[in-house]
Amino acid sequence: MNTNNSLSLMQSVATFSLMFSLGLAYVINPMEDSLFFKALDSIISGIYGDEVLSKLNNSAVAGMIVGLFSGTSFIFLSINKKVYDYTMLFIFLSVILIFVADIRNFDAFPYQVTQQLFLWLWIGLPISIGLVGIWQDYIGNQIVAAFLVLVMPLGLSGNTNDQIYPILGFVFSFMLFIELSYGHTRYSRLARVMYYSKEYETVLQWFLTTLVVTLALTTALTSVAFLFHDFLSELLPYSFSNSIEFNTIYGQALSVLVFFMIWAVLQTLFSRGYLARQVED
Amino acid sequence: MWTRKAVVYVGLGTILVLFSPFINNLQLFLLGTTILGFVAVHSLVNTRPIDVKITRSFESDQVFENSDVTIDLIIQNKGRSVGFLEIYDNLPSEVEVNNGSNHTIIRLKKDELVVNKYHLECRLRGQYRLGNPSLRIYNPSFLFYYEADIESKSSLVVLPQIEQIEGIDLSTDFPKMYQGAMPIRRIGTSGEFYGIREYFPGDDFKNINWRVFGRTRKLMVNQFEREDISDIMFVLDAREISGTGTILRNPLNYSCRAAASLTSFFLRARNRVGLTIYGETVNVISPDTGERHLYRILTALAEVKAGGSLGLHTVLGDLRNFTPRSPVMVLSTLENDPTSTNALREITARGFKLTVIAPDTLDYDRESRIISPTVYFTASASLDNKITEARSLGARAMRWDPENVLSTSLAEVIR
Repeated sequence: MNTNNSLSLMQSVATFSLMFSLGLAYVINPMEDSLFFKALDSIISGIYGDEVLSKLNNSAVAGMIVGLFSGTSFIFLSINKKVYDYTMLFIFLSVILIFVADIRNFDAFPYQVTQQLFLWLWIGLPISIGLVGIWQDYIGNQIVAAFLVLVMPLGLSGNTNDQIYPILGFVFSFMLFIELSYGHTRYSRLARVMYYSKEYETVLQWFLTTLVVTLALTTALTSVAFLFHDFLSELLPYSFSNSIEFNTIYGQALSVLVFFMIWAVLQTLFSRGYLARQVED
Repeated sequence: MWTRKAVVYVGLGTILVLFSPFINNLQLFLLGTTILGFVAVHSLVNTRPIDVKITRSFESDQVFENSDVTIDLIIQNKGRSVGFLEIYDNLPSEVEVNNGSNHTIIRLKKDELVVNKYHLECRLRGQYRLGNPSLRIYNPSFLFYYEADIESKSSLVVLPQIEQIEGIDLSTDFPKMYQGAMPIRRIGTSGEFYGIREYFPGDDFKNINWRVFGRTRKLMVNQFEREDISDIMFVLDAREISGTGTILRNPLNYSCRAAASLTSFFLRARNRVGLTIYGETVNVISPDTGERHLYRILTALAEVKAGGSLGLHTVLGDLRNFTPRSPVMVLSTLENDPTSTNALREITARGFKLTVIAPDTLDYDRESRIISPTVYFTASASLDNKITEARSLGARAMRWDPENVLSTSLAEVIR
């Protein structure tokens, strides 16, 4: 496999990871609970005096497909600046016309269709933004897409251990998306400097192999961090380990932070540089 | 060292872990923990110290201007395996990489040896130091990095370009015999053919050209060039003003090229050549002969840098010890040197056969808008005055446009 193929593979896997993470995010957090959509629903209801959003189809899959289509179209349109400009002008004028037609009660155009399209476009927004970030190497877009994937489905009902598998799937695909999209941006830039040489290809393969291994190790370390909570509960006095605070997610959060703090301290103490300084002193 | 990405990851992970309990969100909590775990795992990947040795090898450490040098950067891993190693060989700005790259990113296995080849184009004379190479190790996800310089320096001397000079007479009227020979395009007794003429009684029979006699039935004799030997002293102006212009095109560089070409020409004919450089200080290389001496002069010319403002009169003391009535060649524009007139008069008064070569880069400077038209006309007129002044003292003086071949320009002034 040459450098270009490896880089394309990174982009493709990052795209699928983004779609998976958004899909799983909506599996974990139902759309009806999403604070983002609740806010949107309130605004639109306020404007129209009608529950517009609840009447429309809020399928996450359809939204993702529309997001994929709009993102891909945007990437292809960007190839030619003139075509891009005219298309954007056309879309803008269409939106204005539909809006004006709606205000003037001109029902010749079925604006319900465009409303549905807008809703799906809204749902698939992280994908369309992320696609541009992945395929055109815009780090800003990658960050915004990651932020939207985390924030848009967020609700107040929370989630528990019952949903552990979708959550693990989400975390894994989200990390893959972030790492591969950012990695592609950096490694493709360096590949151009290195003229896509064969030596550079080995570096790229090393990155891909190490990423898979480190993600597996991270899963193991995360499990250890969670088990550390149980270990602490055995170690700490009964009154503390049996307290309500310790046995909720707050207690888990503190245990995790203590675990990584101990990790950092141990790493500092056992690092070669630190030991060397002790010898010098 | 931590990269910004690592800082953002740790910040985001901590915020997610601390914030998620407020909304009872296991998804964000697990994500935060995973991000922290990812950073923790990556702090162990490709971050330990490495042991890499870098050496540089090239065919010759002395090259002439406008020639290429192939450099092999040999990278030898003596420690652990390195996944991402970025190497940048620091080069002086005067040399240019025209093939390959001095910047490379490689993966080095344990005890592996990698050679990175690149070509340098040396367009400017000088003594250069290549290195040290800078190293940077990134961990695969760009979370941590380590930078270091590895001790590996090499020196490269770029000697001034030598132009082939043929058949010009710059010799003295008072040649020294038996110390060297210099063809001066005059009729003499060397082995170099000059022409034929009619036979006159008294001519040596062995010089009769029998082939011409067979063809024309007329007795003709061969004539040969006369060879003289000389001590020649070059006086090179390395004042700060001689470096005016661009890095490549300035009077000092052209003076060095002219001095190198003429030195090679005279030494080839077994003459003795000396060099006096004035600018910040006065450096004298006494007249000598031979290949070794040529490289001594070329190395001195390679090292010359424009600086100081000593006048031409400062070399007069050193010229006192020079062979009387020998040729002295001054390579200077004589610009902004109030002592030049007296110094030239002194040199000619002592009987040295003086030649002044003034490299003229004014046209180029004006076309490149380095100097304004007003400055050009002033400088040009001043240079003309200096040349006229030198000629009035009996010197052979010329404005040399470096775009023209030196020997052709010299031939015009000498005829």
